[in-house]
Amino acid sequence: MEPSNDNLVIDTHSLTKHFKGVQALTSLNMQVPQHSIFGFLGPNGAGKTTTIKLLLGLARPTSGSGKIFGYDIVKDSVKIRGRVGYLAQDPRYYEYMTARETLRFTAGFFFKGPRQKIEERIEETLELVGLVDKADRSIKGFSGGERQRLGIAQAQVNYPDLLILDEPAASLDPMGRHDVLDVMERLCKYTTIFYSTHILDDVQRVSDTVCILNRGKLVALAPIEQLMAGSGEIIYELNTQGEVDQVKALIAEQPWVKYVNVANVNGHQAWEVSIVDESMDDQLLRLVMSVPSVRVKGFTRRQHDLEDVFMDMVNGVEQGKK
Amino acid sequence: MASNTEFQVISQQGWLGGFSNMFAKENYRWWRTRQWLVQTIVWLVVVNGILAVGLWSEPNLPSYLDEASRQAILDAIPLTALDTFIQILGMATAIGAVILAQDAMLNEKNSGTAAWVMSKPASRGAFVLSKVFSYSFGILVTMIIIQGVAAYLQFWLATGQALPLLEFAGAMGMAFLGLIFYFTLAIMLGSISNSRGLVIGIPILVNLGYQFLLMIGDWLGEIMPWNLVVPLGDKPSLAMALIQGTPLPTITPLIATALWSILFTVVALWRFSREEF
Repeated sequence: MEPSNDNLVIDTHSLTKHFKGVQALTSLNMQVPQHSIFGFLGPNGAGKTTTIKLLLGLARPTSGSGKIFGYDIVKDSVKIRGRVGYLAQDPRYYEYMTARETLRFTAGFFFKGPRQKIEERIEETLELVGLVDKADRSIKGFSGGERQRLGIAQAQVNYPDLLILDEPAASLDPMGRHDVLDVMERLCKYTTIFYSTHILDDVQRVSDTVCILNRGKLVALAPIEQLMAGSGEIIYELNTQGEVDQVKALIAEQPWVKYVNVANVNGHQAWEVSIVDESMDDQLLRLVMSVPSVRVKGFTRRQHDLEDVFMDMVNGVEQGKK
Repeated sequence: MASNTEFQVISQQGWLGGFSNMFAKENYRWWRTRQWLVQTIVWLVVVNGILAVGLWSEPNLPSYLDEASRQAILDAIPLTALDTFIQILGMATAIGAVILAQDAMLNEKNSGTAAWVMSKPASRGAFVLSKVFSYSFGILVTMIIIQGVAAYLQFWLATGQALPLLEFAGAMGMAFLGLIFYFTLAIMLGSISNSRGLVIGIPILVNLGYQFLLMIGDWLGEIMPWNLVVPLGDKPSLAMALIQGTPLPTITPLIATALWSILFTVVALWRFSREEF
Protein backbone atom coordinates (compact mmCIF):
# COMPACT_ATOMS: atom_id res chain seq x y z
CA MET A 1 0.00 0.00 0.00
CA GLU A 2 1.31 3.45 -0.89
CA PRO A 3 1.87 5.61 2.18
CA SER A 4 -0.37 8.64 2.39
CA ASN A 5 1.38 11.94 1.81
CA ASP A 6 -1.45 14.44 2.28
CA ASN A 7 -0.31 16.41 -0.77
CA LEU A 8 3.09 16.97 0.77
CA VAL A 9 5.98 15.64 -1.23
CA ILE A 10 8.66 16.42 1.36
CA ASP A 11 7.96 16.65 5.06
CA THR A 12 10.78 16.89 7.59
CA HIS A 13 10.59 17.05 11.36
CA SER A 14 13.48 18.35 13.42
CA LEU A 15 15.89 17.03 10.81
CA THR A 16 19.39 17.50 12.18
CA LYS A 17 22.87 16.67 10.99
CA HIS A 18 26.15 17.09 12.81
CA PHE A 19 29.50 16.41 11.25
CA LYS A 20 32.63 16.24 13.35
CA GLY A 21 32.29 19.41 15.42
CA VAL A 22 30.04 21.08 12.86
CA GLN A 23 26.31 21.59 13.19
CA ALA A 24 25.42 21.39 9.50
CA LEU A 25 21.65 21.34 9.93
CA THR A 26 19.59 22.09 13.02
CA SER A 27 16.05 20.88 13.53
CA LEU A 28 14.70 21.55 10.07
CA ASN A 29 10.92 21.44 9.77
CA MET A 30 10.05 21.83 6.13
CA GLN A 31 7.03 20.95 4.04
CA VAL A 32 7.09 20.96 0.26
CA PRO A 33 3.67 20.83 -1.41
CA GLN A 34 3.01 18.79 -4.51
CA HIS A 35 3.60 20.48 -7.88
CA SER A 36 5.38 23.43 -6.35
CA ILE A 37 8.61 24.92 -7.59
CA PHE A 38 10.29 25.15 -4.25
CA GLY A 39 13.28 27.46 -4.01
CA PHE A 40 15.76 26.47 -1.35
CA LEU A 41 17.92 29.47 -0.55
CA GLY A 42 20.82 30.18 1.69
CA PRO A 43 24.36 31.47 1.68
CA ASN A 44 27.30 29.09 1.25
CA GLY A 45 27.52 26.66 4.12
CA ALA A 46 23.88 27.19 5.09
CA GLY A 47 23.15 23.46 4.94
CA LYS A 48 21.33 23.25 1.60
CA THR A 49 23.42 20.47 0.08
CA THR A 50 23.45 18.62 3.41
CA THR A 51 19.66 18.72 3.46
CA ILE A 52 19.49 17.40 -0.09
CA LYS A 53 21.88 14.57 0.73
CA LEU A 54 19.79 13.65 3.77
CA LEU A 55 16.63 13.61 1.66
CA LEU A 56 18.28 11.29 -0.87
CA GLY A 57 19.80 8.93 1.68
CA LEU A 58 23.33 9.93 0.71
CA ALA A 59 23.89 10.92 4.35
CA ARG A 60 22.17 9.83 7.55
CA PRO A 61 20.47 12.28 9.90
CA THR A 62 21.93 12.69 13.38
CA SER A 63 18.38 13.10 14.67
CA GLY A 64 14.92 13.99 13.46
CA SER A 65 13.08 12.44 10.57
CA GLY A 66 11.87 13.10 7.09
CA LYS A 67 9.47 11.69 4.59
CA ILE A 68 9.23 11.91 0.85
CA PHE A 69 5.98 10.71 -0.73
CA GLY A 70 5.22 9.43 2.77
CA TYR A 71 8.29 7.16 2.75
CA ASP A 72 10.93 7.42 5.45
CA ILE A 73 14.15 8.98 4.10
CA VAL A 74 16.33 6.52 6.03
CA LYS A 75 14.45 3.22 5.78
CA ASP A 76 12.88 3.62 2.35
CA SER A 77 15.61 5.51 0.58
CA VAL A 78 15.77 3.23 -2.48
CA LYS A 79 12.00 3.47 -2.96
CA ILE A 80 12.20 7.25 -2.73
CA ARG A 81 15.06 7.42 -5.22
CA GLY A 82 12.95 5.40 -7.62
CA ARG A 83 10.65 8.41 -7.93
CA VAL A 84 13.19 11.20 -7.74
CA GLY A 85 15.48 12.85 -10.25
CA TYR A 86 18.58 14.50 -8.81
CA LEU A 87 21.12 16.92 -10.15
CA ALA A 88 24.16 17.39 -7.93
CA GLN A 89 25.87 20.74 -7.45
CA ASP A 90 29.00 19.55 -9.22
CA PRO A 91 27.75 16.66 -11.30
CA ARG A 92 30.24 13.91 -12.20
CA TYR A 93 29.67 11.16 -14.69
CA TYR A 94 31.69 8.34 -16.20
CA GLU A 95 33.97 10.07 -18.64
CA TYR A 96 34.31 7.06 -20.91
CA MET A 97 30.60 7.23 -21.66
CA THR A 98 28.81 9.49 -24.10
CA ALA A 99 25.83 11.60 -23.10
CA ARG A 100 23.48 9.09 -24.70
CA GLU A 101 25.11 6.18 -22.87
CA THR A 102 24.90 8.09 -19.60
CA LEU A 103 21.17 8.58 -20.09
CA ARG A 104 20.77 4.92 -21.09
CA PHE A 105 22.60 3.90 -17.92
CA THR A 106 20.46 6.23 -15.83
CA ALA A 107 17.24 5.00 -17.42
CA GLY A 108 18.35 1.44 -16.68
CA PHE A 109 17.82 2.06 -12.96
CA PHE A 110 14.22 3.05 -13.45
CA PHE A 111 12.52 1.21 -16.23
CA LYS A 112 12.55 -1.62 -18.66
CA GLY A 113 10.41 -1.53 -21.69
CA PRO A 114 10.57 -1.58 -25.44
CA ARG A 115 14.16 -0.65 -26.31
CA GLN A 116 12.94 1.66 -29.03
CA LYS A 117 10.74 3.54 -26.58
CA ILE A 118 13.64 3.96 -24.19
CA GLU A 119 15.80 5.30 -27.01
CA GLU A 120 13.01 7.68 -27.98
CA ARG A 121 12.79 8.91 -24.41
CA ILE A 122 16.54 9.48 -24.34
CA GLU A 123 16.37 11.39 -27.62
CA GLU A 124 13.50 13.50 -26.29
CA THR A 125 15.48 14.28 -23.15
CA LEU A 126 18.57 15.21 -25.16
CA GLU A 127 16.44 17.55 -27.23
CA LEU A 128 14.95 19.12 -24.13
CA VAL A 129 18.41 20.17 -22.90
CA GLY A 130 19.87 20.91 -26.32
CA LEU A 131 22.47 18.15 -26.41
CA VAL A 132 21.34 16.21 -29.48
CA ASP A 133 24.37 17.22 -31.54
CA LYS A 134 26.74 16.16 -28.75
CA ALA A 135 24.88 13.04 -27.73
CA ASP A 136 27.45 10.61 -29.03
CA ARG A 137 30.57 12.42 -27.90
CA SER A 138 32.53 11.35 -24.86
CA ILE A 139 31.64 13.35 -21.75
CA LYS A 140 35.34 13.91 -21.17
CA GLY A 141 35.30 16.86 -23.56
CA PHE A 142 32.13 18.47 -22.21
CA SER A 143 32.18 22.03 -20.87
CA GLY A 144 30.73 22.89 -17.47
CA GLY A 145 27.51 24.08 -19.07
CA GLU A 146 27.16 20.93 -21.14
CA ARG A 147 27.68 18.79 -18.07
CA GLN A 148 24.99 20.78 -16.31
CA ARG A 149 22.60 20.21 -19.21
CA LEU A 150 23.39 16.54 -19.14
CA GLY A 151 22.76 16.66 -15.40
CA ILE A 152 19.31 18.06 -15.94
CA ALA A 153 18.65 15.48 -18.64
CA GLN A 154 19.65 12.54 -16.45
CA ALA A 155 17.65 13.96 -13.55
CA GLN A 156 14.41 13.92 -15.47
CA VAL A 157 14.83 11.03 -17.91
CA ASN A 158 12.78 8.84 -15.56
CA TYR A 159 9.75 11.17 -15.41
CA PRO A 160 10.38 11.82 -11.70
CA ASP A 161 7.62 12.80 -9.33
CA LEU A 162 10.15 14.99 -7.57
CA LEU A 163 13.11 16.76 -9.12
CA ILE A 164 15.85 17.78 -6.70
CA LEU A 165 18.26 20.21 -8.30
CA ASP A 166 21.27 21.50 -6.41
CA GLU A 167 22.29 24.80 -8.00
CA PRO A 168 20.97 23.88 -11.45
CA ALA A 169 21.91 27.12 -13.17
CA ALA A 170 25.13 27.89 -11.34
CA SER A 171 27.55 27.15 -14.16
CA LEU A 172 25.38 28.20 -17.07
CA ASP A 173 25.59 31.33 -19.21
CA PRO A 174 22.54 33.66 -19.27
CA MET A 175 21.00 31.79 -22.22
CA GLY A 176 21.57 28.46 -20.53
CA ARG A 177 20.04 29.78 -17.32
CA HIS A 178 17.04 31.02 -19.22
CA ASP A 179 16.64 27.60 -20.86
CA VAL A 180 16.92 25.80 -17.54
CA LEU A 181 14.24 28.00 -15.99
CA ASP A 182 12.01 27.37 -19.00
CA VAL A 183 12.51 23.63 -18.60
CA MET A 184 11.66 23.88 -14.92
CA GLU A 185 8.49 25.81 -15.63
CA ARG A 186 7.44 23.25 -18.21
CA LEU A 187 8.19 20.31 -15.94
CA CYS A 188 6.30 21.65 -12.94
CA LYS A 189 3.04 20.55 -14.61
CA TYR A 190 4.16 16.96 -14.08
CA THR A 191 6.45 17.07 -11.13
CA THR A 192 7.44 18.88 -7.96
CA ILE A 193 10.71 20.78 -8.23
CA PHE A 194 12.90 21.34 -5.20
CA TYR A 195 15.96 23.33 -6.06
CA SER A 196 18.68 25.16 -4.26
CA THR A 197 20.23 28.26 -5.69
CA HIS A 198 22.12 31.44 -5.01
CA ILE A 199 20.54 33.23 -7.94
CA LEU A 200 17.67 35.14 -6.39
CA ASP A 201 16.35 36.50 -9.68
CA ASP A 202 15.72 32.92 -10.79
CA VAL A 203 13.84 32.15 -7.61
CA GLN A 204 11.73 35.23 -8.02
CA ARG A 205 10.95 34.24 -11.59
CA VAL A 206 9.94 30.63 -11.19
CA SER A 207 9.38 29.67 -7.55
CA ASP A 208 6.05 29.58 -5.84
CA THR A 209 7.37 28.65 -2.41
CA VAL A 210 10.65 29.64 -0.83
CA CYS A 211 12.65 28.34 2.08
CA ILE A 212 15.59 30.31 3.43
CA LEU A 213 18.25 28.53 5.41
CA ASN A 214 21.12 30.15 7.26
CA ARG A 215 23.82 28.46 9.34
CA GLY A 216 21.85 25.24 9.24
CA LYS A 217 18.67 26.81 10.57
CA LEU A 218 15.39 27.60 8.90
CA VAL A 219 14.91 31.34 8.63
CA ALA A 220 11.77 31.52 6.52
CA LEU A 221 9.39 29.21 4.70
CA ALA A 222 6.51 30.79 2.85
CA PRO A 223 4.84 31.27 -0.51
CA ILE A 224 6.90 33.74 -2.45
CA GLU A 225 4.16 36.40 -2.55
CA GLN A 226 3.96 36.36 1.21
CA LEU A 227 7.70 36.62 1.55
CA MET A 228 7.90 39.44 -0.95
CA ALA A 229 5.17 41.33 0.86
CA GLY A 230 7.62 41.72 3.72
CA SER A 231 6.93 41.38 7.42
CA GLY A 232 3.16 41.78 7.16
CA GLU A 233 3.36 45.56 6.74
CA ILE A 234 1.10 46.90 3.98
CA ILE A 235 2.69 49.85 2.29
CA TYR A 236 1.36 51.73 -0.72
CA GLU A 237 3.51 53.95 -2.83
CA LEU A 238 2.02 56.95 -4.63
CA ASN A 239 3.48 59.40 -7.03
CA THR A 240 1.72 62.75 -7.22
CA GLN A 241 2.03 66.28 -8.54
CA GLY A 242 0.45 69.38 -6.98
CA GLU A 243 -0.23 70.76 -3.53
CA VAL A 244 -0.40 67.81 -1.13
CA ASP A 245 -0.30 69.23 2.42
CA GLN A 246 -4.07 69.20 2.84
CA VAL A 247 -4.55 65.67 1.58
CA LYS A 248 -1.57 64.40 3.54
CA ALA A 249 -3.15 65.67 6.77
CA LEU A 250 -6.49 64.16 5.76
CA ILE A 251 -4.97 60.72 5.15
CA ALA A 252 -2.89 60.78 8.32
CA GLU A 253 -6.12 61.29 10.34
CA GLN A 254 -7.70 58.07 9.08
CA PRO A 255 -7.87 55.31 11.73
CA TRP A 256 -6.67 52.66 9.24
CA VAL A 257 -3.50 54.58 8.40
CA LYS A 258 -0.37 53.84 10.44
CA TYR A 259 1.86 56.53 8.98
CA VAL A 260 2.38 58.73 5.94
CA ASN A 261 5.69 59.90 4.54
CA VAL A 262 5.97 62.26 1.60
CA ALA A 263 9.20 63.29 -0.07
CA ASN A 264 9.66 65.79 -2.87
CA VAL A 265 11.52 64.33 -5.81
CA ASN A 266 12.09 66.49 -8.93
CA GLY A 267 8.79 68.32 -8.63
CA HIS A 268 6.88 65.17 -7.80
CA GLN A 269 5.90 63.77 -4.45
CA ALA A 270 6.83 60.24 -3.53
CA TRP A 271 4.43 58.92 -0.92
CA GLU A 272 4.77 56.00 1.43
CA VAL A 273 1.52 55.14 3.20
CA SER A 274 1.33 52.29 5.66
CA ILE A 275 -2.17 50.97 6.27
CA VAL A 276 -3.50 48.30 8.58
CA ASP A 277 -6.04 46.77 6.20
CA GLU A 278 -5.31 46.11 2.56
CA SER A 279 -9.01 46.36 1.67
CA MET A 280 -8.71 50.11 2.34
CA ASP A 281 -6.48 50.61 -0.69
CA ASP A 282 -9.29 51.97 -2.87
CA GLN A 283 -10.37 54.29 -0.04
CA LEU A 284 -6.82 55.60 0.10
CA LEU A 285 -6.75 56.27 -3.61
CA ARG A 286 -10.18 57.93 -3.51
CA LEU A 287 -9.07 60.28 -0.73
CA VAL A 288 -6.01 61.37 -2.64
CA MET A 289 -7.96 61.90 -5.82
CA SER A 290 -10.66 63.81 -3.96
CA VAL A 291 -8.41 66.86 -3.82
CA PRO A 292 -8.56 68.58 -7.22
CA SER A 293 -5.14 70.19 -6.88
CA VAL A 294 -3.44 66.78 -6.69
CA ARG A 295 -2.74 64.68 -9.78
CA VAL A 296 -2.00 61.02 -9.13
CA LYS A 297 0.73 59.69 -11.44
CA GLY A 298 1.28 56.34 -9.81
CA PHE A 299 -0.23 54.06 -7.20
CA THR A 300 1.11 50.65 -6.26
CA ARG A 301 1.53 48.31 -3.36
CA ARG A 302 5.15 47.99 -2.38
CA GLN A 303 6.66 44.64 -3.35
CA HIS A 304 9.85 43.70 -1.62
CA ASP A 305 12.67 42.51 -3.77
CA LEU A 306 13.60 38.94 -2.86
CA GLU A 307 17.18 39.99 -2.46
CA ASP A 308 16.13 42.56 0.17
CA VAL A 309 14.06 39.95 1.97
CA PHE A 310 16.88 37.42 1.79
CA MET A 311 19.50 39.88 3.03
CA ASP A 312 17.23 41.15 5.81
CA MET A 313 16.53 37.66 7.02
CA VAL A 314 20.06 36.37 6.79
CA ASN A 315 21.52 39.53 8.34
CA GLY A 316 18.81 39.50 11.00
CA VAL A 317 19.95 36.07 12.08
CA GLU A 318 23.61 37.12 11.99
CA GLN A 319 22.88 40.17 14.16
CA GLY A 320 20.75 38.11 16.50
CA LYS A 321 23.76 35.88 17.01
CA LYS A 322 25.97 38.84 17.92
CA MET B 1 6.45 8.31 -12.33
CA ALA B 2 4.82 11.50 -13.34
CA SER B 3 3.99 11.01 -17.00
CA ASN B 4 5.27 7.61 -17.92
CA THR B 5 2.81 5.24 -19.47
CA GLU B 6 5.00 3.23 -21.81
CA PHE B 7 7.64 1.75 -19.57
CA GLN B 8 7.72 -1.04 -17.10
CA VAL B 9 9.01 0.28 -13.80
CA ILE B 10 11.83 -1.75 -12.30
CA SER B 11 10.61 -2.88 -8.94
CA GLN B 12 13.76 -4.73 -7.82
CA GLN B 13 14.52 -2.70 -4.72
CA GLY B 14 16.05 -5.19 -2.32
CA TRP B 15 19.68 -5.40 -1.36
CA LEU B 16 20.55 -6.16 -5.00
CA GLY B 17 18.52 -3.29 -6.47
CA GLY B 18 20.25 -1.89 -9.54
CA PHE B 19 22.77 -4.75 -9.70
CA SER B 20 22.08 -5.80 -13.29
CA ASN B 21 22.34 -2.22 -14.55
CA MET B 22 25.59 -1.53 -12.70
CA PHE B 23 27.03 -4.92 -13.63
CA ALA B 24 26.26 -4.21 -17.30
CA LYS B 25 27.92 -0.79 -16.97
CA GLU B 26 31.05 -2.30 -15.40
CA ASN B 27 31.22 -4.93 -18.12
CA TYR B 28 30.80 -2.20 -20.70
CA ARG B 29 33.80 -0.48 -19.21
CA TRP B 30 35.84 -3.67 -19.32
CA TRP B 31 34.93 -4.91 -22.75
CA ARG B 32 33.76 -1.94 -24.81
CA THR B 33 36.53 0.45 -23.91
CA ARG B 34 40.23 -0.22 -24.33
CA GLN B 35 40.62 -1.43 -20.77
CA TRP B 36 40.70 -5.13 -21.67
CA LEU B 37 43.19 -4.54 -24.46
CA VAL B 38 45.50 -2.46 -22.30
CA GLN B 39 45.43 -5.04 -19.52
CA THR B 40 45.98 -7.89 -21.94
CA ILE B 41 48.94 -6.26 -23.67
CA VAL B 42 50.61 -5.04 -20.48
CA TRP B 43 50.49 -8.47 -18.89
CA LEU B 44 51.44 -10.29 -22.07
CA VAL B 45 54.57 -8.17 -22.21
CA VAL B 46 55.39 -8.45 -18.50
CA VAL B 47 54.35 -12.00 -17.64
CA ASN B 48 54.65 -13.91 -20.90
CA GLY B 49 57.63 -11.75 -21.83
CA ILE B 50 59.51 -13.14 -18.83
CA LEU B 51 58.51 -16.69 -19.77
CA ALA B 52 59.64 -16.06 -23.34
CA VAL B 53 63.03 -14.86 -22.13
CA GLY B 54 63.37 -17.99 -20.01
CA LEU B 55 62.24 -20.40 -22.71
CA TRP B 56 63.66 -18.95 -25.89
CA SER B 57 66.90 -17.24 -25.01
CA GLU B 58 70.16 -19.12 -25.31
CA PRO B 59 71.52 -19.78 -21.81
CA ASN B 60 75.03 -18.56 -21.18
CA LEU B 61 76.52 -21.56 -19.39
CA PRO B 62 80.08 -21.62 -18.01
CA SER B 63 82.51 -23.45 -20.29
CA TYR B 64 83.99 -25.60 -17.49
CA LEU B 65 80.73 -27.58 -17.16
CA ASP B 66 80.79 -31.09 -18.50
CA GLU B 67 78.15 -32.23 -20.96
CA ALA B 68 76.06 -34.05 -18.33
CA SER B 69 75.87 -30.99 -16.08
CA ARG B 70 75.19 -28.77 -19.07
CA GLN B 71 72.34 -31.05 -20.16
CA ALA B 72 70.90 -31.20 -16.64
CA ILE B 73 70.77 -27.41 -16.49
CA LEU B 74 69.23 -27.18 -19.96
CA ASP B 75 66.61 -29.76 -18.99
CA ALA B 76 65.69 -27.77 -15.88
CA ILE B 77 65.31 -24.47 -17.70
CA PRO B 78 61.71 -24.92 -18.93
CA LEU B 79 60.37 -25.76 -15.46
CA THR B 80 62.39 -22.97 -13.87
CA ALA B 81 61.00 -20.57 -16.46
CA LEU B 82 57.50 -21.87 -15.76
CA ASP B 83 57.99 -21.43 -12.00
CA THR B 84 59.18 -17.87 -12.58
CA PHE B 85 56.20 -17.25 -14.85
CA ILE B 86 53.80 -18.41 -12.14
CA GLN B 87 55.47 -16.29 -9.48
CA ILE B 88 55.40 -13.22 -11.70
CA LEU B 89 51.84 -14.00 -12.75
CA GLY B 90 50.78 -14.19 -9.13
CA MET B 91 52.70 -11.19 -7.85
CA ALA B 92 53.03 -8.65 -10.67
CA THR B 93 49.44 -8.91 -11.80
CA ALA B 94 48.40 -8.55 -8.15
CA ILE B 95 49.73 -5.00 -8.34
CA GLY B 96 47.59 -4.47 -11.43
CA ALA B 97 44.56 -5.90 -9.62
CA VAL B 98 45.14 -3.54 -6.68
CA ILE B 99 45.37 -0.51 -8.97
CA LEU B 100 42.17 -1.57 -10.72
CA ALA B 101 40.45 -1.98 -7.35
CA GLN B 102 41.40 1.48 -6.15
CA ASP B 103 40.07 2.85 -9.43
CA ALA B 104 36.85 0.89 -8.99
CA MET B 105 36.19 2.00 -5.44
CA LEU B 106 38.31 4.92 -4.31
CA ASN B 107 38.24 6.91 -7.54
CA GLU B 108 34.48 6.57 -7.69
CA LYS B 109 34.13 7.80 -4.13
CA ASN B 110 36.52 10.69 -4.57
CA SER B 111 35.32 11.81 -8.00
CA GLY B 112 31.64 11.88 -7.04
CA THR B 113 30.43 9.24 -9.49
CA ALA B 114 29.61 6.88 -6.60
CA ALA B 115 27.40 9.57 -5.04
CA TRP B 116 25.70 10.09 -8.38
CA VAL B 117 24.98 6.39 -8.81
CA MET B 118 23.81 6.14 -5.21
CA SER B 119 21.28 8.91 -5.87
CA LYS B 120 19.52 6.43 -8.18
CA PRO B 121 17.41 3.53 -6.95
CA ALA B 122 20.42 1.30 -6.43
CA SER B 123 21.53 -0.49 -3.31
CA ARG B 124 24.96 -0.02 -1.79
CA GLY B 125 25.48 -3.77 -1.80
CA ALA B 126 24.77 -3.98 -5.52
CA PHE B 127 27.30 -1.22 -6.14
CA VAL B 128 30.09 -3.16 -4.42
CA LEU B 129 29.14 -6.58 -5.77
CA SER B 130 28.79 -5.39 -9.36
CA LYS B 131 32.38 -4.23 -9.15
CA VAL B 132 33.66 -7.36 -7.44
CA PHE B 133 32.05 -9.66 -10.01
CA SER B 134 32.79 -7.69 -13.15
CA TYR B 135 36.37 -6.88 -12.20
CA SER B 136 36.97 -10.46 -11.09
CA PHE B 137 35.83 -11.63 -14.50
CA GLY B 138 37.96 -9.01 -16.25
CA ILE B 139 40.98 -10.03 -14.17
CA LEU B 140 40.27 -13.69 -14.85
CA VAL B 141 40.19 -13.18 -18.62
CA THR B 142 42.96 -10.64 -19.14
CA MET B 143 45.39 -11.59 -16.38
CA ILE B 144 44.83 -15.32 -16.07
CA ILE B 145 43.14 -16.99 -19.04
CA ILE B 146 44.86 -15.08 -21.83
CA GLN B 147 48.21 -15.22 -20.02
CA GLY B 148 47.70 -18.89 -19.24
CA VAL B 149 46.82 -19.80 -22.83
CA ALA B 150 49.79 -17.84 -24.16
CA ALA B 151 52.13 -19.45 -21.63
CA TYR B 152 50.79 -22.92 -22.34
CA LEU B 153 51.36 -22.48 -26.08
CA GLN B 154 54.79 -20.94 -25.54
CA PHE B 155 55.84 -23.85 -23.37
CA TRP B 156 54.53 -26.36 -25.89
CA LEU B 157 56.30 -24.68 -28.79
CA ALA B 158 59.56 -24.23 -26.88
CA THR B 159 59.81 -27.74 -25.42
CA GLY B 160 57.68 -29.78 -27.78
CA GLN B 161 55.82 -31.07 -24.73
CA ALA B 162 52.35 -30.05 -23.62
CA LEU B 163 51.85 -29.38 -19.95
CA PRO B 164 49.11 -31.44 -18.30
CA LEU B 165 46.08 -29.34 -19.19
CA LEU B 166 43.88 -29.80 -16.14
CA GLU B 167 46.75 -29.39 -13.71
CA PHE B 168 47.90 -26.27 -15.51
CA ALA B 169 44.35 -24.88 -15.43
CA GLY B 170 44.24 -25.66 -11.70
CA ALA B 171 47.51 -23.78 -11.21
CA MET B 172 46.05 -20.81 -13.07
CA GLY B 173 43.02 -21.04 -10.79
CA MET B 174 45.32 -20.78 -7.77
CA ALA B 175 46.98 -17.70 -9.23
CA PHE B 176 43.51 -16.23 -9.83
CA LEU B 177 42.51 -16.90 -6.24
CA GLY B 178 45.61 -15.01 -5.10
CA LEU B 179 44.69 -12.05 -7.31
CA ILE B 180 41.17 -12.00 -5.89
CA PHE B 181 42.68 -11.83 -2.40
CA TYR B 182 44.59 -8.65 -3.27
CA PHE B 183 41.73 -7.21 -5.30
CA THR B 184 39.14 -7.65 -2.54
CA LEU B 185 41.63 -6.40 0.06
CA ALA B 186 42.02 -3.17 -1.94
CA ILE B 187 38.25 -2.93 -2.45
CA MET B 188 37.75 -3.25 1.30
CA LEU B 189 40.41 -0.65 2.05
CA GLY B 190 38.85 1.64 -0.56
CA SER B 191 35.54 1.37 1.23
CA ILE B 192 37.17 2.24 4.56
CA SER B 193 39.67 4.91 3.62
CA ASN B 194 39.98 7.76 1.15
CA SER B 195 43.76 7.53 1.12
CA ARG B 196 45.17 6.28 -2.16
CA GLY B 197 48.49 5.50 -0.48
CA LEU B 198 46.81 3.24 2.04
CA VAL B 199 44.53 1.50 -0.47
CA ILE B 200 47.39 0.71 -2.85
CA GLY B 201 50.22 0.52 -0.35
CA ILE B 202 48.92 -2.07 2.10
CA PRO B 203 48.07 -4.76 -0.49
CA ILE B 204 51.38 -4.20 -2.28
CA LEU B 205 53.22 -4.43 1.03
CA VAL B 206 51.44 -7.71 1.80
CA ASN B 207 52.23 -8.95 -1.71
CA LEU B 208 55.86 -8.00 -2.09
CA GLY B 209 56.89 -7.91 1.54
CA TYR B 210 56.05 -11.52 2.29
CA GLN B 211 59.61 -12.43 3.23
CA PHE B 212 59.63 -9.74 5.92
CA LEU B 213 56.14 -10.63 7.10
CA LEU B 214 57.14 -14.27 7.44
CA MET B 215 59.59 -13.14 10.10
CA ILE B 216 56.56 -12.65 12.33
CA GLY B 217 55.97 -16.39 12.12
CA ASP B 218 56.00 -19.22 9.59
CA TRP B 219 52.34 -19.83 10.38
CA LEU B 220 51.56 -16.70 8.33
CA GLY B 221 52.58 -18.68 5.26
CA GLU B 222 49.67 -21.04 5.93
CA ILE B 223 46.99 -18.39 6.16
CA MET B 224 48.16 -16.01 3.46
CA PRO B 225 48.07 -16.47 -0.32
CA TRP B 226 51.82 -16.38 -0.94
CA ASN B 227 52.42 -20.11 -1.15
CA LEU B 228 49.84 -20.44 -3.91
CA VAL B 229 52.38 -19.10 -6.40
CA VAL B 230 55.62 -18.66 -4.49
CA PRO B 231 57.78 -21.40 -2.94
CA LEU B 232 58.15 -20.90 0.81
CA GLY B 233 61.22 -22.46 2.42
CA ASP B 234 61.54 -25.96 1.12
CA LYS B 235 57.90 -26.09 0.01
CA PRO B 236 57.25 -25.54 -3.69
CA SER B 237 54.38 -23.30 -4.68
CA LEU B 238 51.04 -25.08 -4.72
CA ALA B 239 50.63 -24.17 -8.39
CA MET B 240 53.95 -25.74 -9.40
CA ALA B 241 53.30 -28.78 -7.26
CA LEU B 242 50.02 -29.27 -9.08
CA ILE B 243 51.58 -28.89 -12.53
CA GLN B 244 54.40 -31.30 -11.66
CA GLY B 245 51.97 -33.84 -10.28
CA THR B 246 53.55 -33.91 -6.83
CA PRO B 247 51.37 -33.94 -3.71
CA LEU B 248 50.33 -30.48 -2.56
CA PRO B 249 52.43 -29.54 0.48
CA THR B 250 49.34 -28.00 2.12
CA ILE B 251 45.88 -26.85 1.15
CA THR B 252 45.42 -24.42 4.02
CA PRO B 253 46.52 -21.36 1.95
CA LEU B 254 43.86 -22.22 -0.63
CA ILE B 255 41.09 -22.29 1.95
CA ALA B 256 42.44 -19.32 3.89
CA THR B 257 42.78 -17.18 0.75
CA ALA B 258 39.20 -17.94 -0.27
CA LEU B 259 37.97 -17.12 3.24
CA TRP B 260 39.97 -13.90 3.40
CA SER B 261 38.52 -12.81 0.04
CA ILE B 262 34.99 -13.46 1.27
CA LEU B 263 35.69 -11.63 4.53
CA PHE B 264 37.14 -8.62 2.71
CA THR B 265 34.07 -8.46 0.47
CA VAL B 266 31.71 -8.68 3.44
CA VAL B 267 33.57 -5.90 5.26
CA ALA B 268 33.50 -3.78 2.10
CA LEU B 269 29.73 -4.34 1.80
CA TRP B 270 29.18 -3.42 5.44
CA ARG B 271 31.43 -0.37 5.33
CA PHE B 272 30.07 0.95 2.05
CA SER B 273 26.51 0.60 3.35
CA ARG B 274 27.49 3.14 6.02
CA GLU B 275 29.28 5.50 3.64
CA GLU B 276 28.12 9.11 3.63
CA PHE B 277 28.62 11.15 0.49
